[in-house]
Amino acid sequence: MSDHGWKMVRTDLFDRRVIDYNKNHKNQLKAVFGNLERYVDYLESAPIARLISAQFIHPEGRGLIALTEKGYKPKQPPTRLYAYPRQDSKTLYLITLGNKGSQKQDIKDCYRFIDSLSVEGTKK
Amino acid sequence: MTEETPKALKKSHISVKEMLEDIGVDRDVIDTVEDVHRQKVSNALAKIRLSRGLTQKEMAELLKCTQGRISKLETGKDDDLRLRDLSDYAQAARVSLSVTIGPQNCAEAIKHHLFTVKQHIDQLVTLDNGKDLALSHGIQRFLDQILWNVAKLIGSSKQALKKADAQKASRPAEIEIISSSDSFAGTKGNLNELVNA
Repeated sequence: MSDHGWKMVRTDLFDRRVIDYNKNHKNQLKAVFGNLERYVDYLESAPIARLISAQFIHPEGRGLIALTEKGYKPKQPPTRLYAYPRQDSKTLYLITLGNKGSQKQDIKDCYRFIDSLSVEGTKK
Repeated sequence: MTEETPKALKKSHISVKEMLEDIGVDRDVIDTVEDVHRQKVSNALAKIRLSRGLTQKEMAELLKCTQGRISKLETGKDDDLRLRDLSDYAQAARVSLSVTIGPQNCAEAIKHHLFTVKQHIDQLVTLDNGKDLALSHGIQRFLDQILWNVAKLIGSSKQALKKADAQKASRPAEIEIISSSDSFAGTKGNLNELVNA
């Protein structure tokens, strides 16, 4: 990742969820972070982040992606790590983490966050 | 109810491991991430596919297998991969595959690579049929560049060995290249001349 200068930036919500999952759903956390490690590695090879495709990557619209628990053994309940790769600044924003039940609200939170980035960008 | 927008933290990270340590997750979570990081070959398969701009589905079509199989290869353990999987993947992605058996330590690896370089140079030289002057000059210039770069590389490494150099200042520098073939005959002298120049 460092070769091409991609960096990861977390949100306060992401940290809270990670701490909760670390306490209560650790295997799910292992599954999505394993896939995050892969995704970060792929960012080095793909010229455009949006072109990266794999079974554990779900496009969620507006550039948002969800990294799932897929591929981890033993099989885990659906879990999603929401991230937003921003090509211009080579920043991967790690926005939140959730399950099937929180999916709708999680995506809303992510969209609001992405909007806030655009507002910040225009201010600058 | 007002919905709060997530706020970006100021700190940034370049590795997942470093980030998880910063959050303070349990060691076994970090171990899982490190284990994924160690699967160099399966990760490389995915990167080869991505660099070719292929999706897993397209790769599956080329390999005449299911997308699930591709996903399994790319996210599985290196130990579970078969040589056949690698050669099929390389063929589909139109990249070359080479398997190295042998060198275990640094010195052995250098000797091994030098031998491989020599083989490639020999191959290049066979292109010169003596009829195409431009081609002959091109190869000659390329070899000169290689020679210069190798000398520069070794020279800078030798400079880094300041202590060792100081100790043996009284005796001339010497590079010993041991090859499994005799094709390096004469190289030792040439390199020593360049390094000591």
